[in-house]
Amino acid sequence: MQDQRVPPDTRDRFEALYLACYPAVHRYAVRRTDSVDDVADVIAETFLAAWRRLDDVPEGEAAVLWLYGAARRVLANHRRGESRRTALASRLRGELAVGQGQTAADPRADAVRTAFAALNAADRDVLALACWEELTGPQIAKVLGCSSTAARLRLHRARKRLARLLDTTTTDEVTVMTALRGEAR
Amino acid sequence: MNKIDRMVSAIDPAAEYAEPAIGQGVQDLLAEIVATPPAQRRPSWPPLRRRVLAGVAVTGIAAAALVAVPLVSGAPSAAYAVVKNSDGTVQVTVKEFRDPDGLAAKLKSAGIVADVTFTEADKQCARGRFVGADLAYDPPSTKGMTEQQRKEFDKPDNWRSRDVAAPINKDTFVISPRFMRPEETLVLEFRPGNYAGMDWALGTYLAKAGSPVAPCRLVKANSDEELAKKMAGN
Repeated sequence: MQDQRVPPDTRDRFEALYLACYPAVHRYAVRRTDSVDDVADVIAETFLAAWRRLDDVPEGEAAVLWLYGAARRVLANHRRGESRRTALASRLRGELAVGQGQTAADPRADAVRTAFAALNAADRDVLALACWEELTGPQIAKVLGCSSTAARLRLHRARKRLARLLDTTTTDEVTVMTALRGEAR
Repeated sequence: MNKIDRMVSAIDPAAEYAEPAIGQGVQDLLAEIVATPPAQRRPSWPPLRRRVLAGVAVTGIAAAALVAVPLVSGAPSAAYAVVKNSDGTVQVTVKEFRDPDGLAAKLKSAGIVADVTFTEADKQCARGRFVGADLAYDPPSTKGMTEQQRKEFDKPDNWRSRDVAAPINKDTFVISPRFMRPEETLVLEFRPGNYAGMDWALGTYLAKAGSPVAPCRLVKANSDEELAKKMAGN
């Protein structure tokens, strides 16, 4: 059932955007929420925002950056308790429930996860975009709505703070010493 | 890529991610979205005025029993259980929606001043029972806010009531008193859910120190389905 006011090319344009960017938005949501219900809600609300403001969504590669920005706002609203379970995406929720795998325990990865979780939200934000979404400084700037310089600076600081938490220089030394001891035998 | 970036990449939560099939659910969502008129230009999402914790388990709390039925043995079965943990948090299990004063008393002896209300599925308490200790009870509209005002709005301290209680499973939630300030009252408003998949809804709020909490004035509950539809723009 289609609204008479919707021009057909608007619908086509949105459908193309949706199908092309759905996996990226899904991944973005999976990385930042705990429950299947939240993932479904984030996907639904993000694309609904894009549908409503399709004129604001840029063409080409920048479209997914716009969607990341929208998803980011949706997640912020969720965290503030401003959102509730949406009726949209009920079937999607059911499908997402299948195939939530468990990753094997790895003490080193656990240490990184703990340190990462100890960072403040802004640091985690920018590191996730750089290392999981693999965005460049200018791309991160578009998602965050700041200048490229500001984005690069935030990324630099976040890396430094995480490095301090992980105390990587000490880790390097320990690795070297262990190898030497092994050889001495 | 430097070492730190490699380490963060290694903990990517979507590492095991398989490209999702564009299945029926994905198609259904697309159809639902394009069925809503795009012409509504809203600068921001309409903020929902209350925060509720929704229990989405299939089996839920027996909400029909608003009148206590005494057991033949004579000892009333507990409608709830309150356990104080060694880390200071308090775990609350609610089995039936009855005896709110008893639950409040139990919480009081665990060190938490609380006001508890149970309502029916289609009723909720009208807003304005108390002055909120933070912004979560009655958040102001963010429309027209300057960046400075927005920054102030976003401060975590303005939303600490959302951290006071967190659900654990279908009938248990945990209270973290460290987010409460002296003389604040934890206001709990329970009701059974009225939409498929939502078995109970719990509103948790903090009343400002010194603010009295007025009795609950029952009004028609927001339909959970209606709220969902509102968000979809129908």
